[in-house]
Amino acid sequence: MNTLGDGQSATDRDVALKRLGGDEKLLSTLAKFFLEDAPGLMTQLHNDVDAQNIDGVLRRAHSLRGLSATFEALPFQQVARELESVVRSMNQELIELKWNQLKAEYERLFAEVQRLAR
Amino acid sequence: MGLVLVIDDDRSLRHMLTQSLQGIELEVASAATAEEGLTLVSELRPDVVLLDIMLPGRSGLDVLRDIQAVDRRLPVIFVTADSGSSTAIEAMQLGAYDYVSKPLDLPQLNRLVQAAVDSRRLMSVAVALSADSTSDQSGKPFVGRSPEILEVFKAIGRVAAQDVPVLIRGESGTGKELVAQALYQHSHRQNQPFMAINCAALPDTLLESELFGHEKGAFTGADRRRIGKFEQCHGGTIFLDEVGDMAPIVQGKVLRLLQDQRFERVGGNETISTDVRVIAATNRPLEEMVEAKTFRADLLYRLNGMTIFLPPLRHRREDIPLLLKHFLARAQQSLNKMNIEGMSPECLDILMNYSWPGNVREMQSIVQQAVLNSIGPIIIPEFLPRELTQSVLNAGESGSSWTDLSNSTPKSTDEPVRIVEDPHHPTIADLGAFIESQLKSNATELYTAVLDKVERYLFTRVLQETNGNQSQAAEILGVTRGKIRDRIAVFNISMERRVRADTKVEG
Repeated sequence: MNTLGDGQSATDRDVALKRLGGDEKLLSTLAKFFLEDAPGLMTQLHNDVDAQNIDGVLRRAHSLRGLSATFEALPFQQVARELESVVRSMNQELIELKWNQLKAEYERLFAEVQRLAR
Repeated sequence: MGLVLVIDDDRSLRHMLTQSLQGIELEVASAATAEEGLTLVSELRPDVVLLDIMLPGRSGLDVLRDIQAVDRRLPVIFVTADSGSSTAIEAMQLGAYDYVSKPLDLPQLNRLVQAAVDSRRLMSVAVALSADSTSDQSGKPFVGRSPEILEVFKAIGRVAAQDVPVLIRGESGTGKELVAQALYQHSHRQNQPFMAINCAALPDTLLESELFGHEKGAFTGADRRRIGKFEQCHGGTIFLDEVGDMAPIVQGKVLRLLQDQRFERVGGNETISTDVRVIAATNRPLEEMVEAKTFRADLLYRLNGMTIFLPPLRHRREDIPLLLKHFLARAQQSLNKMNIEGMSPECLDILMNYSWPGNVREMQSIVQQAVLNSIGPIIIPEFLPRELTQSVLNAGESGSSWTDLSNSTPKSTDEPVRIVEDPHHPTIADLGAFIESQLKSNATELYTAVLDKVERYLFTRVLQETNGNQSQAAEILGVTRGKIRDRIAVFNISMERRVRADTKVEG
C-alpha cells in the first residue's frame, strides 16, 4: 500500500549521490548501515507509539528521518514529520493512522535502499 | 592538517563525515555520546567540532556550553535534522560557528569545515612580533627589524588593548591579516571569537547577509533565518579585510554598527545589539574614494580609530635577508629539503634588487619555488622563477616598461595594453610535464604549486583577452575586481603599453 508516495519514488539516487560527492561506495555503505539500523529503530518507535511515550516517539522519528535523509527519502520523511506533530495531540486514532502510513512508506523505502546497497 | 571531532549518535553520519573530511586531508575523531565527546575535546584539543543538536539524553546546546567552558574559541558546527530549527538559531546566538541541516551536502560541508579550521588557525596561532627570524618558529612570524616595521610593532602594542577600531593599510601581501591577528591576540577580547571576512570575495548582497544575517524570505533563496557574523561574534573581534571593496549599502549598515553597535538582519525589523571590535584593512586609496563618492567619509572616520600603515617590502629592504632566511628555513622543513644550505651571493643580489610587487606573500612563494627547483645545496639564480630574474634584468636595462597595476583600462585605444607573457614561463600545456617532474623529485606541497601555476595562467590569459580591462576580466572569471588586483600583484602580471603596428603615418 502506498500513501502520499503514490507515483513518487521512495528515494532519489541521483540527488543522494551528488550530495555524497559522487562516491558510489560511500552510498552503498550508508545503505547497508540503514538496512542494519532502521529495523531496530522502527521496532522501538512502534513500542513508543503503543506506550504513548511522546519523547520516545520524537526521538526515534528524529533518528529515522536523519538516517533516511541521505537517500533523499522525501515521502518517508514527510510522514515521519507528520507523526512527530500528531503525537503531541494524544489523538490515538490519528497517531495510529500516521504510524500505519509510516510503516507503508518504510517498506517501500527499505526495498529501494536494498537496491542501493548492492 | 586540522583535527575535526564528530559527536553524533548516528554511526552512518559519523562514517560519512569521516570519509568526506579525510578526503580533504583533515584528521577525524568521533564520539557517539556527549560524555565521550567532551572527554575527547579535553584530550585531543580538536580544531573544529561537528555536533549533533539532539544527542541521546542531552541537548546539543548544553554540550556546546560545556565545550565553551573548556575552549571558548573552538568552532562548533551543529548538525540538525531541520533547516528551520529554532534550536539552531539559539545555538548560533550562543556562539556556534555555523549549522548544517540534513541531508548533508558533503562538498559544501567540506568547504565549511575547512573555513572553520582556518578560522581556528587565525584565532590560535600566535603572531610573534619578532626582530629575529629564528625565534618562536612555532608561531606565525612577523619578521623584521627595520625602523619601518618596528614602528608597526609599536603601534600594535599601543592600540591592541584599547577597544577602538583600527584601520590597517598597506599593499597586497604586506601582512595586514597578521597585524589584525596580533591586535586580537593582545586585546582583552582574546578569549572571545575572532572572525575574518574578505569584503572583496563576496557579492554585495551576500556580504550584507554574511555580516548582518537575514530573515526567512528576505530574498529569493532565503529559506531560513540566518545569523550574521556581527551577531555571532558578540564579545569578539571582526576583521573586515578589503574594506574598500564594500558596497555603499553595506557601508551604511557598518557605519551604524560602529556608531551604536546595533543593526537589523536583512529583511528584519528587530533591532539587535552586539558588542564587537572592528578591525579593517585595505590597500585601496580610501581618501580618493571618498572624493569620488564611492566610500563614505563618515565610515572612514569611524573605522579610523587608529591607522597602522604597513610598509611595502621595497621600502624596508634591510628586512629582505632576514625574511629570506626565515622563509628558506620554513620551505626546507615543509618540502623536506634539508640538504639546502643557503643562497648564492648572485641570487641574493637579484632578490635584493627585485621590486617585490606582491610583497612578503610573493617572497614566500618565490622561495618555495626556488627550493622546489633546486638540485644542489645552494640556491643559484637559475632556480629562481624566470619572470623574476627577467624583471630585474629589464629594470636594469631600460625604463620603457611600466607596471602601474592600479590602472584597469588602457589610456587610449591606440595604446592597447599588452599582458606580458614570459616565454620561459610554463604554459598550460607544460603542466603535465611539471607535475611529472615534481613527482619524480618527491616534491611535496604539489597541490599549492600546481594551483598557483594554473591560476597564474588563467588570470594572465583572461587579462590578455580583455586587453587589461580588470572589470571585464572580473566578469569573465566570476570574481571581484579586488581579487583581480590582488592576483595581478601576487603574480606580478605586468601590462605594457605598445604602439600598434598599423598606426597611420600622417602625410
